[in-house]
Amino acid sequence: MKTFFLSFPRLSIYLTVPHEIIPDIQATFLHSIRSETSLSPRHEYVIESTSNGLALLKDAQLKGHFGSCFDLICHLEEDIENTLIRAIGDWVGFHAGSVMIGDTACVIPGSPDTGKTTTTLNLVEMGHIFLCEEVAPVDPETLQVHPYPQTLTIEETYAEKYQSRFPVTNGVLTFVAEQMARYRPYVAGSAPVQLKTILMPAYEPSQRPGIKELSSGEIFTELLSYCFPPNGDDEHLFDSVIRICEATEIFRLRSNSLQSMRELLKELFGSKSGL
Amino acid sequence: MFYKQAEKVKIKKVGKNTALYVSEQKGIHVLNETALFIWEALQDPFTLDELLYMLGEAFEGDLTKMKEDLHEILDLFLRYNLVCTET
Repeated sequence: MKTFFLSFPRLSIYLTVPHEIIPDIQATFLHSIRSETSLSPRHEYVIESTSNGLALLKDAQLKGHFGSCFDLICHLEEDIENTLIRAIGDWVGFHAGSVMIGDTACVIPGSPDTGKTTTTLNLVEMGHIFLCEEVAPVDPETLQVHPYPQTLTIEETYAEKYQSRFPVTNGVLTFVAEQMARYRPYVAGSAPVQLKTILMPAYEPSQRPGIKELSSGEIFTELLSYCFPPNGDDEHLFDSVIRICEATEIFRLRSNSLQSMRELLKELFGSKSGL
Repeated sequence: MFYKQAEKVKIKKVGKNTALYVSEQKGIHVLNETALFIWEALQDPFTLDELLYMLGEAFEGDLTKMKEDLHEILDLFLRYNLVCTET
């Protein structure tokens, strides 16, 4: 067995795993594993080999049995995500990806299947620094995005299409079970970054692609719908999101293909890699 | 029947817009120009006809369409407990 120390915004975890899945865990939590720390962990997860697979325990409580390492890792990621959302307290947790554009952060919120993960993938592959996946924790006081750089999960068909059009150079794209692919960027930010831009992707095959700048009033209620439930009262969340959307530039990016998304992102942010 | 602003409604400025919510309820509502005009008018109680007259004075447009919009906005205000009625 080997124990990893995982560090997330306002959350630290011990994760003890059997030797046979160490490479999978190291790959999954590449940017969150710390060699040593003076902080005491908030939670302890243990993965044990069993006769029919793997068992996951959290704080000595059994969370489930899993037939494959991939199933277990998906469940573990989801559990850590839910724990993180509670741990961030009065910060805003956006259901979003995030990347660093220059020295500021861009948050990419959205409902499932709107293209937030693929937008994050494209921006990372265009040379921007990866910050967050699934949850983008934002401190409304400082307007800083705190990195939560988890592995991106994307549909196999999209990953295949992407690979056929562009070289994957800034991370590893692997095809896994259940018609899914995983993308692990090589580099991720480790320090909080000032939020400047909110990018709302919309994939609409029948529409003309384009970029539209949105005012805080236009986008406020939609942005609220992409927040995880607050740990405090609703009024604090409203005030926080108002502050965030008044302090940022917000764009709707309407794409109808991989190529159009890429071109719009290049138009908006440029490309470090020239792709 | 008179309409008027309900108590306990809180107001937030969102950029150039105004949003309303009631603490006990989930959700917050950003008002468009017409809804804001009606909301502000309802600091005092008014009937539907009085509100329609005020709308007609303040905005240009078809009065029938304006009446439909007014009905719709008042229904939403009532549904979300942002206004109440009195006889």
